[in-house]
Amino acid sequence: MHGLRDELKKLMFEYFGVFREGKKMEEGLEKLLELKARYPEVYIDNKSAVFNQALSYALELGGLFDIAEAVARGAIARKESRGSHARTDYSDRDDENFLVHTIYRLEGPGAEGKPGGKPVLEYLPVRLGKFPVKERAY
Amino acid sequence: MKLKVFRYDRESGDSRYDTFELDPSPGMTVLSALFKIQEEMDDSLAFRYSCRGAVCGSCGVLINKVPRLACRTRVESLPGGEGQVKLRHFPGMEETVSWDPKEEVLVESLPNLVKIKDLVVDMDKFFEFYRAVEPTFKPASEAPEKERLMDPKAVSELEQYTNCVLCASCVGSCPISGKEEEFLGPAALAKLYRFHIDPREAEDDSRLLLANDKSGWWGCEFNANCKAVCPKGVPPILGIGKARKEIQKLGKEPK
Repeated sequence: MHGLRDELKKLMFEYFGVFREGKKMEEGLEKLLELKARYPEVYIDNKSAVFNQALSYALELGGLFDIAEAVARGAIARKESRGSHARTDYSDRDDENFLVHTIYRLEGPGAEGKPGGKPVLEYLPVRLGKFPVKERAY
Repeated sequence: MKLKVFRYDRESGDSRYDTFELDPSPGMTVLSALFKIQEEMDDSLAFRYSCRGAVCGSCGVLINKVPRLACRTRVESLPGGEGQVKLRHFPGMEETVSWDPKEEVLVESLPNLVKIKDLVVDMDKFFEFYRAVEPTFKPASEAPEKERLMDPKAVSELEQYTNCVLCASCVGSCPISGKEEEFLGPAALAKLYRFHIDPREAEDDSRLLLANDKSGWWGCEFNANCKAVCPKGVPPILGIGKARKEIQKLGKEPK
């Protein structure tokens, strides 16, 4: 269980870390899905009903895989750089296409009726405040 | 380096000590060592934690017979005897298992609290006493348009007590908490004193009189373990002593 979690950590840092690049992220997503497919095989030795932290870590790991996939798909689709989303292949901010919030959801039932479904990316407009939209110069 | 860890299971009531051998990385804390054990050696080990940086107060445990935060105690410092604290006798201090302080780090659950699993204790009683002292700010006047101004001198006096992170280290080392079921304990009394001296609260005796008996201010026997073990430097013993003096001045000591 901890082994799989460590692999996820390393993968996300390597492929979706500080600097991101389209091709590399595609590769990363593929690897992420392979890793996620191993999650159902996770087991824990601890069978205690009292304060079983191994169990909560195992359950949390399922959530981490879903979040990691949302991060990956959202980052690949956002072909620009903005804040900590720094892409080497799209180094400029693109307000025309990406001044939007990414909304990620899973549509329909998952395989064999399990929770899950098809990942869908949507965008919502950003509600702007009193400051004019412009590139940061610092 | 060896960690000798107290193991307990409320379901079966069984207890034992497990020894784990590990190679500490530089600066490794007892908390990191516990994570390493949990992740690599035995996933059934249970312990509480949250912030990992000495602000949440969740990881209070007994380390080499002294209550400390696991996250701010470095493993390496222990076998050399660095930071040893001299304490007056309290229940957790008694020998529970043989261990070699030169080679082993002994990690046990906080004394004076009901055990749940391994290093995890039931904090209900601690927080019951905490609630009993009504630990919320009760302003004497209605909220002003701007802020309530305070004399900086009053602030530094208050701050000694507000730094408490509710880790229960003081309660775990208090000889009185160990023998008197109803004693509010150092943390709750320090909190009560803190509100008593808050200049923004009403200048009356209500806070003082709330604990004017043996389960409150008068239960303390000034062993000073609370002040010695507090990871945040809070001195409950000082507040308790001052509260008692004030009550004596008022002539309202309990009979």
